[in-house]
Amino acid sequence: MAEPVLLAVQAVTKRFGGLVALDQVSLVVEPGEIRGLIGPNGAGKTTLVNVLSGVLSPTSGSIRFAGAEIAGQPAHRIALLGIRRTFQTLRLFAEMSALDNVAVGYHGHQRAEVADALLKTGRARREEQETLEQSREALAFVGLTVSAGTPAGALAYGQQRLLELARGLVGRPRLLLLDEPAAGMNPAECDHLLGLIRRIQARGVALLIIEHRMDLIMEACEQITVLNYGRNLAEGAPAEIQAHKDVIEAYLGQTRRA
Amino acid sequence: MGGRRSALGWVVLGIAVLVLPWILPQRYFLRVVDLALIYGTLALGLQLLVGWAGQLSIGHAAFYGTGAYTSAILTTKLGVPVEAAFVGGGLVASLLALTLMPITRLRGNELAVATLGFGVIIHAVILNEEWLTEGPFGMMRIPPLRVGPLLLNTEFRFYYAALAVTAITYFAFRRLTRSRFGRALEAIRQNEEAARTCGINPVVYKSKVFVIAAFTAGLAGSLFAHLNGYLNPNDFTFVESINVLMMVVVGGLHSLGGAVVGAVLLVFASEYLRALREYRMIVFGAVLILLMALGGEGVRAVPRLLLAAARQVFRAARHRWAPPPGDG
Repeated sequence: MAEPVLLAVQAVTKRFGGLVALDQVSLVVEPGEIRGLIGPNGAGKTTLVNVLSGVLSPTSGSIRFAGAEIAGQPAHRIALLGIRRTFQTLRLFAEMSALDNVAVGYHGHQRAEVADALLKTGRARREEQETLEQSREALAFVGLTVSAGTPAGALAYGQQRLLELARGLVGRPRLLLLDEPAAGMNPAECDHLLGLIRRIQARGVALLIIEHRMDLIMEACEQITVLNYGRNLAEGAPAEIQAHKDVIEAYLGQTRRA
Repeated sequence: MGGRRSALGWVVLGIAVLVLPWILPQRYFLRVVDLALIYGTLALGLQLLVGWAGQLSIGHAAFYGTGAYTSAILTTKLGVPVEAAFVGGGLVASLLALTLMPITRLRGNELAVATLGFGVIIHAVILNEEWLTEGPFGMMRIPPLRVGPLLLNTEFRFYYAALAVTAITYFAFRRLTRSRFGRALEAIRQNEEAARTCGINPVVYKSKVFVIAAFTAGLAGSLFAHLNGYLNPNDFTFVESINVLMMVVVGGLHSLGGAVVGAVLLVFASEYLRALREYRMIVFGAVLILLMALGGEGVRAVPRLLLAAARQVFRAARHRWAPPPGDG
């Protein structure tokens, strides 16, 4: 059976007390697609990513991922199902080494229990070796060439962003949510990121990207969803979005970022 | 890792601890060492909880007391062999920790207060359930530890049992902290939300680490019961929990060796500073504040700081006696 839709968000609402952060938001991501998610500040983009990744549960609505309902599931279960994310404000394990940070992302692919660790069973050894191999591979993939022992907190900002990306990727997600991956990056780093996003897609991973840098979004995405005041405002290809009357209006209401 | 040098270090340390009771066979001294080893085991468990998983528990004496009383009750009232009662102390303490699963959802201060409450409850139970624990009179005539035909009824013999328990706990924890399990604990401590989005269920890991820490605390309690031969409810109050926490902090957070070193330092300090009486706690408190101000590294920071201070003194002296050209 064909599987046309990877992620189907339907009429998702999220309220914080009286504030409606997401109001009946709907969104579809096809397998292997790069989908952009834009909108003025406060449009609910990060809230949507938090709801999709299980960091927050939606007040109502349905989220189907690979055919299963995941709305309101705990974050760790959603991660194991194949949705990984990065954070707008970096959330690394600052005192752990870069390599260990990535290895944490591989947690779900390991099975060794406490007893395995105590007895150093074959399974524990095999898995540990595999974890380190996969983690090194992910670091190399994102182009992070640091000595693996460096504490994550000691890396440069752009490197920390790449490290978070590697941590998400190593878990072999089917959908990767990137919340402002280019924030704080210089133009060269942005170019690198764009190439990286394409190589991630080539691995068969779908991406949902929030980004304020329109050049990156327009360049990278096939389809863009626009939110405004927690509601769907528009949807379409980059050229359509750029010409969309409502989008221009929404963005012109405030200082334009590009 | 400095493989060869550290291997040599382990051999030297191993020989030193094995011959220690032969070189310094004074009973009082060995008793203090035995106590230090018991607290070493206790502090190791709390180190895993606080230094790795970041779960601040200020009720650790509850597990320690549970292990001690379990072993005492099993041997004196139910005639269970000491070897089995020893393990029983650990098991009952870890079963008790399982009941804490709901509070592992709490974080930070809330968790600390909940563990405090837990410690108070256990102490109240020990104090008041006289049919089980003899209440405020305490449990008497607890038999000494034995391993088959070998009776460990002297400080000297007990030393090797306590040493074995501490060493096994240390090496077991070393493996744990270097595994998937340990990595998950560290991730939870450093950023719980990020850990969850990496597929780690914090409640499961916190519960497991509580059970493990409680098990080793229970074993330490059993050891204490059979070394001392007598248990009093006041051995297991809030103050005792703070004591163990102090050992962890003094030894340095996030260091297994530090937990043992902290235990040895504090047990020896409190025994040999008895002359200071109440002032002892003031000294302890001041040292603790100082160590926290140094950033949670504990006594590990001391050599580095001494070196830095020496360098500064040296530089000041040089400056004074040989002012660089163009100066003044």
